[in-house]
Amino acid sequence: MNKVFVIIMIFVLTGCAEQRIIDDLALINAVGYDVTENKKNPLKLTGTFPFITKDGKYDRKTIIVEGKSSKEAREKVRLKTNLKLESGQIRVTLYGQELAKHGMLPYLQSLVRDPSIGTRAKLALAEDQASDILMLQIKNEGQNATYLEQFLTKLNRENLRTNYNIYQFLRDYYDDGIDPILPVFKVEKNNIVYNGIGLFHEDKLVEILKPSEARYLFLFREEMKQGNFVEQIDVGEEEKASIMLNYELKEHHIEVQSTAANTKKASINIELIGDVLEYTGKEDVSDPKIQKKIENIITKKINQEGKELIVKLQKLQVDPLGINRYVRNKMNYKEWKALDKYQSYQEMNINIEANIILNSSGKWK
Amino acid sequence: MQMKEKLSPFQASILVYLIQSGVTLFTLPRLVAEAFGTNGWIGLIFISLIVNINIVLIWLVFKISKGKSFFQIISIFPKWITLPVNLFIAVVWMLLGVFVMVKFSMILKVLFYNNVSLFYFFSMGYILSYIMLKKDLYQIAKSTVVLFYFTIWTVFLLAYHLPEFSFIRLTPYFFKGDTDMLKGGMSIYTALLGYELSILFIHMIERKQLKSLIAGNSITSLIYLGVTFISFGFFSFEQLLREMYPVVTLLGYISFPVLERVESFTFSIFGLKVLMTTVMYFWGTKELLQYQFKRIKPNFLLIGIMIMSFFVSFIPKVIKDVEQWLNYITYAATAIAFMLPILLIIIVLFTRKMNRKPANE
Repeated sequence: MNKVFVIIMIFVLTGCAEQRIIDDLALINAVGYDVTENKKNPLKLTGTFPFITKDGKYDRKTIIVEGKSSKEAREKVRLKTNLKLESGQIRVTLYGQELAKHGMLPYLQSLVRDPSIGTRAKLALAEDQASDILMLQIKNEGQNATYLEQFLTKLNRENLRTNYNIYQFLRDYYDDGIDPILPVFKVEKNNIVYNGIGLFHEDKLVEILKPSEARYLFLFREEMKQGNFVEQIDVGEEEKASIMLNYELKEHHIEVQSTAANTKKASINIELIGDVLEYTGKEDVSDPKIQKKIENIITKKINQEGKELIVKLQKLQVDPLGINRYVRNKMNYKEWKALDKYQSYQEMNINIEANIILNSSGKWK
Repeated sequence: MQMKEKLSPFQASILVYLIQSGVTLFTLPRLVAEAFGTNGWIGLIFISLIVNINIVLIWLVFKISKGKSFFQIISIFPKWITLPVNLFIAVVWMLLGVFVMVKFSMILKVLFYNNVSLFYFFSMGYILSYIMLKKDLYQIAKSTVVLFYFTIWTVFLLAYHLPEFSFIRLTPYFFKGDTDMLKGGMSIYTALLGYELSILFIHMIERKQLKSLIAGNSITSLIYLGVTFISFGFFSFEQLLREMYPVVTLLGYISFPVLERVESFTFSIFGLKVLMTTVMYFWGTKELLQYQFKRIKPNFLLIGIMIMSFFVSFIPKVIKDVEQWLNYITYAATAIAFMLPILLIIIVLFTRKMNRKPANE
């Protein structure tokens, strides 16, 4: 009798937990944050969620409200729908450029504080207004949230390593030797396109690098193991030819030559092994001599253009490569705490030591 | 207490491990960072060593008394002398058992089940505890082995964090930053608490008593060390200081192809470990009270403890209160862990000298 009672209790008690019927839920899958002109309600929040229409079709609804803080705006969203709001399925949060320039931290903190939101929710910037991107109705493309999520995952898989989620952003923000970056999207011809990388100084957006500028950035970040390299080079006497390499990052290390008093020099050493996939010039790329020549040209190019990028980063006082982490690991604690990080970063002489080796000319001689 | 079957060393180790690993694990990496600063995970090794010293003390009691049980040793005193001490220890252990479960339930509520009343969690907890406690220690130990295999696989989830792990984030600094070695160290020590219950069952272990207890503590320490080490390379140091429950975040970062947010599942699995901690503290309470009040039927005593605990569970309203309570209780429990074996050693040596016959038999 006793056992029966216990078993009944266990079943009855678990049944008392809260019920959530999926048809009655508004599972928000993307949120956008923007600033408004309105002084009283400076924040514009865009939330989008999928729902099933009366005739059984899959659709989405996007709600825009203005409010004082993100959670206060969320309360307003609640008044605009007959469904119960749930944040647990948020996959992407978008931030307008204006807002990111003022600092991202308050918004991120409200996300990370909320236990229903996972730390793997992805972050991205909107070149203009986040609401534009989330409101956009792309033909035959149902949910902008899933579209963006796939996009971000794809960028990550293609080794652009722009996949930044809440955990990664906060990790790099709170780490004292690296600054976070975020991918930027914009609306172009009724489509959402990737348009570069936003650079952060602490939690404030400083500059957006165009995709063409940003490619070296990924090359110098350690996480990227493979990638493509397309370049106009001039091997022989004739016009510039286009070459495309599919490469593998064989080696990557950042060296800081430092004694405590003098941290003026650093070098980023990378070694790439590549296969030629396209070459539009007249030379025979399978010829070792020509290969050597191409290797030299590309090496020189990466060293030079990479250096230009680094100088730009130094000027902007952003450290997305985490050079300062290597500086930190060369010093003792007291010296590190006394160091003016950005000042010393700006004064550093950072060189690129690239080494490109051609492996093959593809499956054509 | 008559016991037909004895615990094998393996069972004893697992029992110790499961009593030890409780709800503090979820906050441990932050506690370690707060207490020891950068690379604080190394500090855990020292704390584990202190626990081992304590275990040796407990073993010494067993060795010097030539295998006598706790109750046999104290039976030289009349019961009115042992009553206040035993009552005090029983209350501390009972409260510890209660609050470990309350804290887990509250975190569970905050993180995953916002609208579910604590009443249900507590009811489930006490029903399950009661079912286990009705059996003797040998049966409980048998079920712990099952629970051990049921939960130990979660350790391997740590491997999922390797892609995000970086040695650079560990920094070359040892124990730098705002440290609070004494108070922080104390709070970490309480994460390993639980082994002290072995003073009640060390004589029931078949053989290799010392080794199996130390092995149990080593399993806990290794798991703690692993989790903390991964956390230090996974989070940046400042971030770690701000994460309320770093281990929950760690679990939450795992993504399976078909499952989002597995942490709610793994976190609930951890509930089984917490349950074992509670069950064993209640067991200790029961044993102590049974010794003092031989007349009461074991089952009535058990139900009494359960009812009392159930009502005590509702006293603290918020996690903050629970933490405050737990703080004081664990201090008391730590004091008991050290004082009790020392006291017992003195008693044993003293009785040997006086060669007195037990006053209570």
